[in-house]
Amino acid sequence: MSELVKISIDGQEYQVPAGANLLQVCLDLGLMVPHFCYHEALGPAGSCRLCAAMVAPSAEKPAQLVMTCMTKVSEGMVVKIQDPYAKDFRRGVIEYLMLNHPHDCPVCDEGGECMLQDMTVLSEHIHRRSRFPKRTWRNQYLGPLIHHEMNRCITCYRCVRFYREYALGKDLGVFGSRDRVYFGRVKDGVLESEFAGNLVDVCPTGVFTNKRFREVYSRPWDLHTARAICVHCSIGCNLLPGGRHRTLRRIKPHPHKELNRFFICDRGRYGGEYVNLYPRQTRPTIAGTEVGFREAIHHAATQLRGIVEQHGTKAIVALGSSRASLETNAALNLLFKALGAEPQIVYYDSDEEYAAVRLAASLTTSRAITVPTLVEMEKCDFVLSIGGDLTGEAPMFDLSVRQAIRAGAAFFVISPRAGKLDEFARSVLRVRPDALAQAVEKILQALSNPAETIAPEIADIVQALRSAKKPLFLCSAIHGDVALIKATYDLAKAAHQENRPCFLAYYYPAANSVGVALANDSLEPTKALDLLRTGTAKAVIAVEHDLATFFGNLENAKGILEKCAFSMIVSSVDSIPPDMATVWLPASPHYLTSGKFVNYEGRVQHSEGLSLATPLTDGPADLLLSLIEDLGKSALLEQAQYSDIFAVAAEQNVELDELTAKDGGIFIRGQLRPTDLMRDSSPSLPKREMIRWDIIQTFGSEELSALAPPIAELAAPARIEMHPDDMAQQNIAEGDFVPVPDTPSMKLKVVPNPNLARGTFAVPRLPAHVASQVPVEVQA
Amino acid sequence: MIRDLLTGLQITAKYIFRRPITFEYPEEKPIIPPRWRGRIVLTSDPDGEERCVACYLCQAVCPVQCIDLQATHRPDGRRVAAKFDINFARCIFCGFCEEACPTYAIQLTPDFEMSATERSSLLYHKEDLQISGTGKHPEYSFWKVSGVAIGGKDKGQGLNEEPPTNYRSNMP
Amino acid sequence: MSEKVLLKNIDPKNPQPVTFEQYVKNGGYEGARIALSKTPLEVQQIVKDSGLRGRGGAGFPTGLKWSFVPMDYQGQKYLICNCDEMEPGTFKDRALVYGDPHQLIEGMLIAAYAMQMTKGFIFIRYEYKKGAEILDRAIAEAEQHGWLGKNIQGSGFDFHLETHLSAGRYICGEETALLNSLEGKRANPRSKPPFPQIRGFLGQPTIVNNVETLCNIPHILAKGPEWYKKLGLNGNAGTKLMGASGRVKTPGLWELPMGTPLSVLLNEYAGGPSREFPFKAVIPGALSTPIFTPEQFDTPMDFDSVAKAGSRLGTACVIVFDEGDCMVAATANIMKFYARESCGFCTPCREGMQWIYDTVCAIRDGQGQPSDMQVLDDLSRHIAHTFCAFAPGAQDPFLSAITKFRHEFEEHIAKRTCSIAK
Repeated sequence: MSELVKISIDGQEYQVPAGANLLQVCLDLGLMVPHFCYHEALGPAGSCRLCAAMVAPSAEKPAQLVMTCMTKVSEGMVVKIQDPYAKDFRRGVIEYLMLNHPHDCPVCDEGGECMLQDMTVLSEHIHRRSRFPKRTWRNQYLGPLIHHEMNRCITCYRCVRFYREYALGKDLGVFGSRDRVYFGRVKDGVLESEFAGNLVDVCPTGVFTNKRFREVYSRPWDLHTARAICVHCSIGCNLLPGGRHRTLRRIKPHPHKELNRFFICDRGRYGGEYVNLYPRQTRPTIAGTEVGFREAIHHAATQLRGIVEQHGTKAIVALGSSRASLETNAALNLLFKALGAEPQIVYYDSDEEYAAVRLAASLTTSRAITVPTLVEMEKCDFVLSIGGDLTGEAPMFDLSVRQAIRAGAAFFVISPRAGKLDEFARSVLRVRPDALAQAVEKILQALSNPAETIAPEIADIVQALRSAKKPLFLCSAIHGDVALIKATYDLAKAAHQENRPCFLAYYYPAANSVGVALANDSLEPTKALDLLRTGTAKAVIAVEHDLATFFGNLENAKGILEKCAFSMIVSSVDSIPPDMATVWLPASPHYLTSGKFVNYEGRVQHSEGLSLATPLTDGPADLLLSLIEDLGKSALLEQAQYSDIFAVAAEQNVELDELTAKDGGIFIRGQLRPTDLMRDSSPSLPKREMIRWDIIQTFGSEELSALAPPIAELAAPARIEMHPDDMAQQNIAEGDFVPVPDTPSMKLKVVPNPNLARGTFAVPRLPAHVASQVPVEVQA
Repeated sequence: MIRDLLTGLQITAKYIFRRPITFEYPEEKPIIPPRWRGRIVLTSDPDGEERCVACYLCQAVCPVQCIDLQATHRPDGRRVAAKFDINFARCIFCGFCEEACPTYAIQLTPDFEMSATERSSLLYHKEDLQISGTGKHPEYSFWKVSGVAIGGKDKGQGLNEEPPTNYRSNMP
Repeated sequence: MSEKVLLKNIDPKNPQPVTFEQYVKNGGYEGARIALSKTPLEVQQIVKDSGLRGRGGAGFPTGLKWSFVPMDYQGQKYLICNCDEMEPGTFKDRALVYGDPHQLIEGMLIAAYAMQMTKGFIFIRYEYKKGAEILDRAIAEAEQHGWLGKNIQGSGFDFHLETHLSAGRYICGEETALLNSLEGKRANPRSKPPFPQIRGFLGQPTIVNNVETLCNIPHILAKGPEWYKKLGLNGNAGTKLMGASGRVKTPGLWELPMGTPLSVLLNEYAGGPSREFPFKAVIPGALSTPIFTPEQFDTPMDFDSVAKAGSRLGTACVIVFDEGDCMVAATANIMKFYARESCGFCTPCREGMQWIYDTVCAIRDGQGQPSDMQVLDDLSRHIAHTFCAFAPGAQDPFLSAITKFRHEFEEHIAKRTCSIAK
């Protein structure tokens, strides 16, 4: 409880925290002091001079015109915002900013949410007195995401303060001086930072605007909005999608006090465009022929019931989805119960993923580890990133780690491949993917045996960890390495002390990975494949899960489906031709449907769907519920509880039912026991000479955002990366096309990467339907 | 009572010899003042290009929400309306849209002869609204005073603009 | 004739700087020798007692400024000499650096010793490139003779000095902008607090002193604070380099006792008006100070007297106008400088200066409008509230011009022509 002081603002007394920023205090009290360069995340700059007010340190002393953003409150301070001299000065500041500001409002995308418009009205500047010509600038091409219109710049410096100081980017900067200051790149080109989209929000005028929104523009007051949860990674940032008529127009961040406070990554901002393009087949089909929803649902229900009656309770295998909501996955589980069949639901694409994600999720939700919020991460003084690339796998973790680095944190990386954050690391341990757990165990041993001499490559990590006050471990659960999950847990536990708690955050492949990990009926992928191959299972239901990715590729998927007596795809993305399945049920996509998602912390958040006049109204959950109703089992729906389907505490059922988008989410009390999962023998990987490492790219690896045109444009091309020494050893030259070791039919171009561990080949992970469209040369 | 009747008849008689104010429409047309708020048009600027820049202000200010439009950009950089619909079954001809328009594009004309036999034909699209003339403001061209570069008007070529500054120069 | 202290070794007719040998022969490095024999705090006290005030323009007591540096600080501290002399009308530091570089070096050595700073920079403006070369050679000479570098004269004190050539903008003369520029960043000023004495160059305690200030130090140490105090008139301490340029017969630079009246400088030394017109206005402290009109010409040229008369001593290099000069054109010329040299960080200075310049030019050229005076009045008030002291420095001559010579502006607007300039 910080000390409070009494100050007076415009004659009214307030109790405010001592030493707080005066401008922030006024804004928090609802007193709108005009300002530009101050931003809660970026701090004050003192450059715009707009936040001026008359301030006296006490009632007896004389008042002076000060910038409230550069002033800290103190006891007895007397503040006059509405003082005539201050008001005239603020009016003057706006007048000076308007000297060179173009007459663009009608054609400017910022209008309607423009801080300059708002501040001009607030400051009561009305008439232009200058008759002199306005300065003009040429714009730059900054990539497919950001539109540049420099004439409108009011030189508040927010863009470079965000881009360079906050996000530690390098390619956007300031040119010039006096009234000829320019913000841009050295040369036209795509902005390199994955957080460049935030320039759109941070810029108070229309200099940086959303280029994709520009093409489908709508004034912000006309947009329907809803508080949604991002679906493109496991962090669960809060978003504010805006739609109008039938389409989603744009996505903005929605502030969340503990997760994303003001910013989001470009994947979340621009990845949602796919909802306007998919599914392409918007009417259901039965064996390729278009039918209505009622007919398709009735046909599917009848067929499925028949299969269970004929072939037994194990006759159906389903693919659930870790990128779909709890409600969708719950509905799928209930469908099995409605059919009287044994729930055989697979959520993962490999046994390794199954084991790793479930173990990490159990540790998270059982509170065996202390998982930090994004805000807590920024305050850590020791950060160890293990087994993955933060920038591609959990982009907002990257931004939070950058804040910790700015504050002087000791940052270390253990990874097979260099990532964008490596340049800030004190040291980097480059190890093969199958040696990651070993590396962590070495650190654990060194920590537990302080008397022994430490191996030189981990010496600085161990030393920094010993002296750290707030250590943080970030471990990827995306690459299916169970041993690594366990080793990191052991390390965090060993480093955890009474007066020095350790933070550990795992990050997962998809938005609801933790949610589906808690599913009671979760089948291992190989077991599901066995059921299908042996013919025990005669039917396949895929709900928001790409069959080509699950079965390896499109041909395999086709083969399996042809052998099935019945197959059904319920999805918002027709990633494989819908006529490959018996029944195709198109579902309304995420952002347009509501649902609950569990993020990397075990926090359940309700994502509210936008109601737009699209041809599809039902999400996947509703379609499955319609199937259950058609089977005459609606009673099941009334009795269904979350704790029946997911391993959550029964007391949480009501909480989960009543959860809305307004809350910041609630934490799930998971009942999955980590010890049970650690006892499961982790699938042993055969020792190979060259081992594969999946590059999870910020753009292009995540299934849904990869379907958004701007994201696809930015995705780095398919390739194989190898260490130059390995290439030399195997007589491979740069530019050769070599077969990808586990999919020999596919050949990719070799690119040397000296920042890759020896004995590793790295291939970008691309969703199967995207990979099939990637132009790869298949040499005859 | 008789007196009241006679007073009434007197008044009626007074009006028999007065000139009626009725005029015989449609043979006689009324003289409408130029600022009379009638049919809405979208005007063009002195160069013959459409004035409407799809700023959405008319749509926002319309008290009955009878205007619906969608902005787009032409290849030459001009922002125009891809769609501009006015539902004249809703329109109350208040003139707020004309007042709000920053480019003098949307204007109300002294024309009221808009009858239709089907409600759907009262939904006017852009091609029904666009005229080639300038309407009430023959001189004004928004693009000449805006800072945005369009085909035919580069940066610095607008009214009262300096040529583009060279930000790479070290000269003070 | 007053005693020459700073300029005593310099022969105006000799373009070559004073060599090390000449400097020592004339008593050079004696002050340093005395300083090294005392404790650092004793040296600081001597400087405090001498009453020396900063010669960069602000006039802050030097000894007091030095005392803010934490003496128990364990890390690196820095001494920086501000030789970014770009104030229009000022050329005193140039004379010192080009003429007697060792005087500056000795001053920096003593100052560094007093505050226990082992690293020093001379931040010299780009246009004084030749001066930087002169200083580099003098530094090499001093190092050769053991007056710079490690273990100076066996005292155990190290001091490494180097020159740094600025990239050439006026704002680098502002202390905190200088620090940013020296660090390799954009030359935007910083907000104070924190003050450079606590957190300056690279976040370490730093003192930035003007060339002339530092050049006084050796003499104070050599001859003692009491002697120094008696050099000025009416209780003022020390001498001051005073310059005069503009409409005077013999423009130049003289070393005069602090407190010499302005009229003496203008008439006895600068030779009076150069044309047939009498004096009209004088900017006493080089450009960034309020303008004096003839009723103030008797003001003694010292910090307090000039301040009491409504201006600032600044660098004491006066700019002189006569009755044949149009003050509107002069203001335009003045504002052109400020508009060009604004760093572009804060709004009133960045945008306002150019508007002032455009408006004053319009008035000068007969295109002024009556409403322009209201615009200039508003601007003259608003440019006081900026991020650094650059714009208030512009406000000084501008505000006094439109106040004291408002009639000229109004005449230009009304007559639509200039009837003053001759």
